[in-house]
Amino acid sequence: MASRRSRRSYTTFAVLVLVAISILALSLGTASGISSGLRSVGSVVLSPAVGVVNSITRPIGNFFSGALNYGAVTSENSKLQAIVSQLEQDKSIQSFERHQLAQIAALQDLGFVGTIPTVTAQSIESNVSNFAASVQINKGSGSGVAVGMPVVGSGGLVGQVISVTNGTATIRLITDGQSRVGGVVGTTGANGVVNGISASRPLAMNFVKPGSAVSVGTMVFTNGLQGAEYPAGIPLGKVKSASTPANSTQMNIALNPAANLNQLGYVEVLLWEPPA
Amino acid sequence: MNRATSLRLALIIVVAVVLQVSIISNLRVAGLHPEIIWLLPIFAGLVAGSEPGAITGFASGIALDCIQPTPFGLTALVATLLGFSIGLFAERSGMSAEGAAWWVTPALGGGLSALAILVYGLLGFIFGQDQFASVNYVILIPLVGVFAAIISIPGWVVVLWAFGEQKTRRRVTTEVSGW
Repeated sequence: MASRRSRRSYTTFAVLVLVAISILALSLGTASGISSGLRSVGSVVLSPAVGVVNSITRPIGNFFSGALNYGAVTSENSKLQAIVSQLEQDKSIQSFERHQLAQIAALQDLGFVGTIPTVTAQSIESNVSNFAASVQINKGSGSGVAVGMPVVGSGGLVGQVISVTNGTATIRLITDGQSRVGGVVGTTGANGVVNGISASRPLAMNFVKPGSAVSVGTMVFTNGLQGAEYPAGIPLGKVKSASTPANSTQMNIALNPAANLNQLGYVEVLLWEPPA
Repeated sequence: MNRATSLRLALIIVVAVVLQVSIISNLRVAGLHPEIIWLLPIFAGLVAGSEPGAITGFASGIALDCIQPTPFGLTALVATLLGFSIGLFAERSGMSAEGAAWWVTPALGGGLSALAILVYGLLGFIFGQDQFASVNYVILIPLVGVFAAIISIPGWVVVLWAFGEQKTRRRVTTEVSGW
């Protein structure tokens, strides 16, 4: 009797491990759409409950956070009020400048600048895993958001949409270890690939030829080369350090992300997909 | 597992995942947060044995995989291994936290959760997730272990409730376990 129970236990275990490994292999391989679909289902089921718990707990957290940092909150409020008035003044100027920029962009065959439709979304969760840099936003396929679309925030590129439900989407941040973005150094035109490492570490720019003139503080943009997953010209990060080790075939370049990834209140999803 | 146990377990898993994503993931230390999901297979294995431990691990892991942007199935794999091996060890040795000293449950919950996060990182790296090597384990392992130890007692009570009448009759004796 005990032996039969033990055999059944081993069989169950073997089946579960096999299923888990199969799902894992599929999600890591070419059939990642399956895992994306399962994630969408899971998100649809759990998101409402998460939203309810958040709506209850977030005000409590905010209250204590505000009480503990009252001085900083007051000071920040004054600063924000000043910024709002400045932005209102700038709005009319920017409108004119956008028009000019669109004309220049069209001349340079950079038609996407200023013309790509966007969806503004609010960040509702960030870094739900210790092993991935991601945020979840409150807009999904119902608003036109699709897997693969670039996401920008204040300052520059934030990341890319990796899964969507009707009302939410998950964004892989450029600091995530799986993120790869084609980049070009603003002043020299040197191309490379900007890799994320982890949420708390700078970006690494690889494959830049040794001896390229890359100086600290230079901005790196998306290069938009053929087959690129991002349109060209989006700020990626500022060069934090650059060096060429002896006998190396590439430079060691570290970047600080251009966008403030620690405070992603709102982001813009670019309704843009790579040309076929 | 009978239908009532399955339903109670499903409820606990959903609640645990929702708490993990909404509250626990916002308790940050150096950008990292505790993880409570490992307690379910650990305690299921201890309470009910290897098969329920493996099933609980798989179900809770898949549920969390649905939310996390990490490789789908990895949490399920680690949690299944964890639940089964702890359950098997408990069956073979006659070990259980029931009736043991007060600190045994937190020690088991904390220690095994910390071990789980290490195995998760290692397996992820083996499966080609190079970024898993960049995680600050010096902070993450104690963080997960200490938090799991703190909530082990309510976690244990909840898992006992889930398995109810099905739990095994194994008892701890100080002679066997050394506790």
